[in-house]
Amino acid sequence: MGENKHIEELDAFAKKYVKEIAQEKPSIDFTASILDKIALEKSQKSVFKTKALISKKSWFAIFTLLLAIVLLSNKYSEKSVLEFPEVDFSFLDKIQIPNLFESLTISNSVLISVFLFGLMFIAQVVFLKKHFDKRFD
Amino acid sequence: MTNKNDQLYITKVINGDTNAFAYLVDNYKGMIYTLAYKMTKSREEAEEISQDTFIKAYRNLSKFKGDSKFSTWLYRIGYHASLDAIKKNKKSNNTFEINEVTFNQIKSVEDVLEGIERKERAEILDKCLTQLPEDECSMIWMFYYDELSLKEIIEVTQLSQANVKVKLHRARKRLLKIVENTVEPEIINHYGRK
Repeated sequence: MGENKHIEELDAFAKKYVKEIAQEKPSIDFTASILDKIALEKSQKSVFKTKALISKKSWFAIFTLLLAIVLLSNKYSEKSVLEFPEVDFSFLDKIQIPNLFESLTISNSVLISVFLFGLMFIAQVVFLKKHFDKRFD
Repeated sequence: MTNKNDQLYITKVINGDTNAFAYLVDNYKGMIYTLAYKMTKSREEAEEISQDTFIKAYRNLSKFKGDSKFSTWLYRIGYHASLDAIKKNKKSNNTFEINEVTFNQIKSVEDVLEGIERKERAEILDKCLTQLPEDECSMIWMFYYDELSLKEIIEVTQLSQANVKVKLHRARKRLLKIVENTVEPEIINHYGRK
């Protein structure tokens, strides 16, 4: 009860005197300066506005055309274009490359910790993005 | 929630009328500048912070949904920008120790303050307020000067309700202690005369 009374008295004290303090004033050209910065930013944006050389529509047309060529050639030719020529990889057995990491053993705990670190790192990126976006919501 | 006029100008700005932003800046520049100044205690920094606040607000205006007041949204950007500036400069106020407050203590400080001219009294209070740690100073300013509700302060500071209440109470007590220390010679005089 006594504590509540003190809170009320302190509240009344602060309410009465803080309101008497005058508000500070920024420089005279404050608003003009902000508008100038915004105008500059806007003009820079319009100057450096990037435009894709190939528009989305063109990419779509190119992709459709390529797909049509592949599918049609597959249908009408005896040998499919999707059939890759056979390559003889047996030469790889003849080359003997010393295994530098033969003696290196990685324990499971190291693997798990590296995996968890990666996971947390990716999670942080998402978390931080949300955090900063939230500030402006 | 947002003031109709504010909403009108916000829509104008979003639709490309940059000059409409001047109305919003003129309306809230004092509020943001004063908050930044109270927190950083530097006019240059406050000017920079408040300009950055408005530019950030302009860039993100389309993200403003209008669920809260525009002023609260701006306040939030300004508050965090000021905190970032303080962290960067590692500036922090020396804190006054706070003890329990007694009724007599409040009464005697009030008696002295009432004997001082309003303008001078406001200057004393202003100086005392800037001696508070920045988080407490901003709490007092938001709650008593700009009259933000507890809910709005929670929204601005992103602290829990309990935390805001504790900080606010501590700030009130510390402010009284600082004012008391400042006007102490007057108190002694005042009671000496009685």
